[in-house]
Amino acid sequence: MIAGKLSSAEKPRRSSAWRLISVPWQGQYVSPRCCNVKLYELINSVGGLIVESISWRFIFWIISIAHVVLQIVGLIFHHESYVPKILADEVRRLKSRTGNSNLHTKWMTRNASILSTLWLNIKRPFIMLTTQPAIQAIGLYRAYFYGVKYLM
Amino acid sequence: MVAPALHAISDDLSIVSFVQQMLILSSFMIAYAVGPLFLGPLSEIFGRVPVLRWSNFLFLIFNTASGSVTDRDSMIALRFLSGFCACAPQTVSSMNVEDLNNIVPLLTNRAIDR
Repeated sequence: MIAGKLSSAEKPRRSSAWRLISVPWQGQYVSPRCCNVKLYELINSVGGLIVESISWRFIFWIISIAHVVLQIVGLIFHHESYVPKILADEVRRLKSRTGNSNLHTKWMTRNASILSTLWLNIKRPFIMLTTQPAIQAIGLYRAYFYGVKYLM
Repeated sequence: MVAPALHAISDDLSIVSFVQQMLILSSFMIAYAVGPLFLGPLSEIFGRVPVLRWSNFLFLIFNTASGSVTDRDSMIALRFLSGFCACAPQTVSSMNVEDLNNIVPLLTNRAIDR
Protein backbone atom coordinates (compact mmCIF):
# COMPACT_ATOMS: atom_id res chain seq x y z
CA MET A 1 0.00 0.00 0.00
CA ILE A 2 2.77 2.43 0.94
CA ALA A 3 4.80 1.38 -2.09
CA GLY A 4 1.84 2.16 -4.35
CA LYS A 5 1.46 5.59 -2.79
CA LEU A 6 5.18 6.33 -3.04
CA SER A 7 5.35 5.42 -6.68
CA SER A 8 3.05 8.36 -7.39
CA ALA A 9 5.28 10.82 -5.51
CA GLU A 10 7.96 12.77 -7.31
CA LYS A 11 11.38 11.20 -7.55
CA PRO A 12 13.64 12.83 -4.88
CA ARG A 13 10.79 12.75 -2.40
CA ARG A 14 10.12 9.14 -3.24
CA SER A 15 13.66 7.94 -2.70
CA SER A 16 14.08 9.68 0.65
CA ALA A 17 10.67 8.54 1.89
CA TRP A 18 11.37 5.00 0.75
CA ARG A 19 14.69 4.96 2.57
CA LEU A 20 13.01 6.21 5.74
CA ILE A 21 10.33 3.52 5.59
CA SER A 22 12.64 0.65 4.76
CA VAL A 23 15.04 1.24 7.69
CA PRO A 24 13.06 -0.79 10.27
CA TRP A 25 12.42 -3.54 7.73
CA GLN A 26 16.10 -3.77 6.91
CA GLY A 27 16.70 -4.04 10.63
CA GLN A 28 14.51 -7.11 10.70
CA TYR A 29 15.28 -8.93 7.51
CA VAL A 30 18.46 -7.66 5.86
CA SER A 31 20.88 -6.96 8.68
CA PRO A 32 21.40 -10.62 9.76
CA ARG A 33 23.11 -11.26 6.43
CA CYS A 34 25.50 -8.30 6.60
CA CYS A 35 26.43 -7.96 10.27
CA ASN A 36 25.19 -11.18 11.95
CA VAL A 37 23.53 -9.25 14.79
CA LYS A 38 19.78 -8.74 14.70
CA LEU A 39 18.20 -5.97 16.72
CA TYR A 40 15.53 -8.49 17.66
CA GLU A 41 18.09 -10.88 19.17
CA LEU A 42 19.79 -8.01 20.96
CA ILE A 43 16.54 -7.02 22.66
CA ASN A 44 15.83 -10.66 23.49
CA SER A 45 19.20 -11.03 25.18
CA VAL A 46 18.44 -7.93 27.25
CA GLY A 47 15.32 -9.82 28.36
CA GLY A 48 17.52 -12.75 29.38
CA LEU A 49 19.72 -10.42 31.43
CA ILE A 50 16.69 -9.01 33.26
CA VAL A 51 15.38 -12.51 34.04
CA GLU A 52 18.74 -13.62 35.46
CA SER A 53 19.43 -10.50 37.50
CA ILE A 54 16.05 -9.29 38.79
CA SER A 55 12.82 -11.19 38.01
CA TRP A 56 10.69 -12.04 35.00
CA ARG A 57 8.05 -9.61 36.23
CA PHE A 58 10.39 -6.70 35.51
CA ILE A 59 10.41 -7.60 31.80
CA PHE A 60 6.80 -6.46 31.59
CA TRP A 61 7.32 -3.50 33.89
CA ILE A 62 10.37 -2.23 32.00
CA ILE A 63 8.38 -2.42 28.75
CA SER A 64 5.62 -0.43 30.47
CA ILE A 65 8.06 2.23 31.66
CA ALA A 66 9.53 2.65 28.16
CA HIS A 67 5.96 2.72 26.83
CA VAL A 68 5.03 5.62 29.14
CA VAL A 69 8.03 7.63 27.93
CA LEU A 70 7.08 7.01 24.28
CA GLN A 71 3.45 7.89 24.95
CA ILE A 72 4.41 11.25 26.45
CA VAL A 73 6.36 12.00 23.26
CA GLY A 74 3.32 10.85 21.24
CA LEU A 75 0.93 13.06 23.21
CA ILE A 76 3.01 16.09 22.27
CA PHE A 77 3.93 15.35 18.66
CA HIS A 78 1.28 13.04 17.22
CA HIS A 79 -1.62 14.85 15.57
CA GLU A 80 -4.68 13.67 13.70
CA SER A 81 -3.91 12.94 10.06
CA TYR A 82 -7.17 11.42 8.79
CA VAL A 83 -8.75 14.06 6.54
CA PRO A 84 -12.47 13.17 7.09
CA LYS A 85 -11.92 13.28 10.85
CA ILE A 86 -10.12 16.66 10.74
CA LEU A 87 -12.89 18.16 8.62
CA ALA A 88 -15.60 16.66 10.84
CA ASP A 89 -14.00 18.36 13.85
CA GLU A 90 -13.88 21.60 11.91
CA VAL A 91 -17.56 21.25 10.99
CA ARG A 92 -18.48 20.67 14.63
CA ARG A 93 -16.50 23.79 15.62
CA LEU A 94 -18.14 25.91 12.92
CA LYS A 95 -21.61 24.59 13.81
CA SER A 96 -21.26 25.70 17.40
CA ARG A 97 -19.82 29.06 16.34
CA THR A 98 -22.23 30.00 13.55
CA GLY A 99 -25.31 27.99 14.56
CA ASN A 100 -25.71 26.74 10.98
CA SER A 101 -26.86 23.12 11.26
CA ASN A 102 -26.69 22.43 7.50
CA LEU A 103 -22.89 22.28 7.45
CA HIS A 104 -21.45 18.89 6.52
CA THR A 105 -18.44 17.32 4.83
CA LYS A 106 -18.58 15.16 1.73
CA TRP A 107 -17.88 12.06 3.85
CA MET A 108 -20.91 12.60 6.09
CA THR A 109 -23.79 10.51 4.82
CA ARG A 110 -27.06 11.19 6.57
CA ASN A 111 -28.37 7.69 7.20
CA ALA A 112 -25.27 5.65 8.11
CA SER A 113 -25.01 4.50 11.72
CA ILE A 114 -21.66 3.76 13.34
CA LEU A 115 -22.35 0.02 13.49
CA SER A 116 -23.24 -0.31 9.79
CA THR A 117 -20.13 1.67 8.82
CA LEU A 118 -18.02 -0.52 11.08
CA TRP A 119 -19.51 -3.70 9.60
CA LEU A 120 -18.88 -2.45 6.04
CA ASN A 121 -15.26 -1.64 6.92
CA ILE A 122 -14.63 -4.93 8.71
CA LYS A 123 -16.14 -6.91 5.82
CA ARG A 124 -13.92 -5.25 3.20
CA PRO A 125 -10.53 -6.87 4.03
CA PHE A 126 -12.10 -10.35 4.06
CA ILE A 127 -13.71 -9.77 0.66
CA MET A 128 -10.40 -8.49 -0.72
CA LEU A 129 -8.47 -11.39 0.81
CA THR A 130 -10.81 -14.01 -0.61
CA THR A 131 -11.28 -12.56 -4.11
CA GLN A 132 -8.06 -10.71 -5.07
CA PRO A 133 -5.07 -12.92 -6.09
CA ALA A 134 -2.65 -9.97 -5.82
CA ILE A 135 -3.49 -9.53 -2.15
CA GLN A 136 -3.39 -13.29 -1.53
CA ALA A 137 0.12 -13.46 -3.02
CA ILE A 138 1.42 -10.54 -0.92
CA GLY A 139 -0.33 -12.01 2.10
CA LEU A 140 1.42 -15.36 1.61
CA TYR A 141 4.79 -13.61 1.21
CA ARG A 142 4.32 -11.56 4.37
CA ALA A 143 3.06 -14.61 6.28
CA TYR A 144 6.23 -16.51 5.31
CA PHE A 145 8.44 -13.67 6.59
CA TYR A 146 6.34 -13.38 9.74
CA GLY A 147 6.86 -17.07 10.43
CA VAL A 148 10.60 -16.98 9.73
CA LYS A 149 11.04 -13.93 11.95
CA TYR A 150 9.42 -15.58 14.94
CA LEU A 151 10.95 -19.02 14.44
CA MET A 152 14.51 -17.71 14.35
CA MET B 1 11.70 -9.81 25.39
CA VAL B 2 9.36 -12.41 26.88
CA ALA B 3 10.83 -15.40 25.00
CA PRO B 4 13.94 -15.86 27.25
CA ALA B 5 11.74 -15.52 30.32
CA LEU B 6 9.44 -18.41 29.38
CA HIS B 7 11.19 -20.92 31.63
CA ALA B 8 11.23 -18.56 34.59
CA ILE B 9 7.56 -17.70 34.09
CA SER B 10 6.46 -21.32 33.77
CA ASP B 11 8.51 -22.31 36.85
CA ASP B 12 6.93 -19.51 38.85
CA LEU B 13 3.34 -20.09 37.70
CA SER B 14 3.84 -23.92 37.71
CA ILE B 15 2.99 -24.43 34.02
CA VAL B 16 4.09 -27.96 33.08
CA SER B 17 2.69 -28.45 29.59
CA PHE B 18 4.95 -27.28 26.77
CA VAL B 19 1.95 -26.15 24.70
CA GLN B 20 0.70 -23.95 27.51
CA GLN B 21 4.18 -22.46 27.94
CA MET B 22 4.24 -21.57 24.26
CA LEU B 23 0.71 -20.18 24.56
CA ILE B 24 2.12 -17.29 26.61
CA LEU B 25 3.96 -16.19 23.47
CA SER B 26 1.50 -17.27 20.82
CA SER B 27 -1.67 -15.88 22.42
CA PHE B 28 0.02 -12.48 22.08
CA MET B 29 0.89 -13.18 18.45
CA ILE B 30 -2.61 -14.41 17.55
CA ALA B 31 -4.18 -11.18 18.79
CA TYR B 32 -1.36 -9.18 17.21
CA ALA B 33 -2.20 -10.72 13.82
CA VAL B 34 -6.00 -10.45 14.08
CA GLY B 35 -6.16 -7.00 15.67
CA PRO B 36 -5.45 -4.88 12.55
CA LEU B 37 -8.64 -6.24 10.94
CA PHE B 38 -10.66 -4.46 13.60
CA LEU B 39 -8.46 -1.52 14.60
CA GLY B 40 -7.99 -0.37 11.01
CA PRO B 41 -11.73 0.13 10.36
CA LEU B 42 -12.15 1.64 13.82
CA SER B 43 -9.46 4.23 13.04
CA GLU B 44 -11.39 5.22 9.91
CA ILE B 45 -14.49 5.95 11.98
CA PHE B 46 -13.10 7.58 15.12
CA GLY B 47 -9.87 9.00 13.69
CA ARG B 48 -6.26 7.82 14.02
CA VAL B 49 -5.36 9.58 17.26
CA PRO B 50 -8.18 8.29 19.53
CA VAL B 51 -7.68 4.68 18.40
CA LEU B 52 -3.91 4.86 18.83
CA ARG B 53 -4.06 6.55 22.24
CA TRP B 54 -6.77 4.33 23.67
CA SER B 55 -5.15 1.11 22.54
CA ASN B 56 -1.78 2.29 23.84
CA PHE B 57 -3.35 3.16 27.17
CA LEU B 58 -5.04 -0.26 27.38
CA PHE B 59 -1.77 -1.97 26.38
CA LEU B 60 -0.08 -0.17 29.26
CA ILE B 61 -2.70 -1.47 31.70
CA PHE B 62 -2.71 -5.07 30.40
CA ASN B 63 1.08 -5.26 30.14
CA THR B 64 1.63 -3.93 33.64
CA ALA B 65 -1.04 -6.31 34.94
CA SER B 66 0.54 -9.32 33.21
CA GLY B 67 3.73 -8.51 35.11
CA SER B 68 1.95 -9.07 38.41
CA VAL B 69 -0.25 -12.14 37.77
CA THR B 70 -0.08 -15.24 39.94
CA ASP B 71 -1.89 -17.85 37.85
CA ARG B 72 -1.65 -19.34 34.37
CA ASP B 73 -5.06 -18.48 32.92
CA SER B 74 -4.98 -14.77 33.62
CA MET B 75 -1.42 -14.66 32.24
CA ILE B 76 -2.52 -16.09 28.87
CA ALA B 77 -5.67 -13.94 28.80
CA LEU B 78 -3.76 -10.75 29.58
CA ARG B 79 -1.16 -11.58 26.95
CA PHE B 80 -3.96 -11.99 24.40
CA LEU B 81 -5.51 -8.63 25.33
CA SER B 82 -2.19 -6.78 25.32
CA GLY B 83 -1.37 -8.29 21.92
CA PHE B 84 -4.66 -6.98 20.58
CA CYS B 85 -3.80 -3.48 21.78
CA ALA B 86 -0.13 -3.68 20.74
CA CYS B 87 -0.96 -4.03 17.05
CA ALA B 88 -2.42 -0.50 16.86
CA PRO B 89 0.89 1.31 16.25
CA GLN B 90 1.87 -0.87 13.30
CA THR B 91 -1.63 -0.56 11.81
CA VAL B 92 -2.18 3.14 12.35
CA SER B 93 1.38 4.25 11.53
CA SER B 94 1.24 2.93 7.97
CA MET B 95 -2.14 4.62 7.58
CA ASN B 96 -0.58 7.86 8.87
CA VAL B 97 2.07 7.72 6.15
CA GLU B 98 -0.67 7.23 3.56
CA ASP B 99 -2.69 10.11 5.02
CA LEU B 100 0.25 12.47 4.71
CA ASN B 101 0.18 11.96 0.95
CA ASN B 102 -3.38 13.32 0.98
CA ILE B 103 -2.71 16.10 3.49
CA VAL B 104 0.55 17.66 2.23
CA PRO B 105 -1.00 18.87 -1.07
CA LEU B 106 -3.84 20.46 0.93
CA LEU B 107 -1.44 22.29 3.24
CA THR B 108 1.06 23.49 0.64
CA ASN B 109 -1.73 24.18 -1.85
CA ARG B 110 -0.01 22.32 -4.66
CA ALA B 111 -0.13 18.76 -5.89
CA ILE B 112 2.81 16.40 -5.42
CA ASP B 113 1.92 14.61 -8.62
CA ARG B 114 3.12 16.48 -11.66
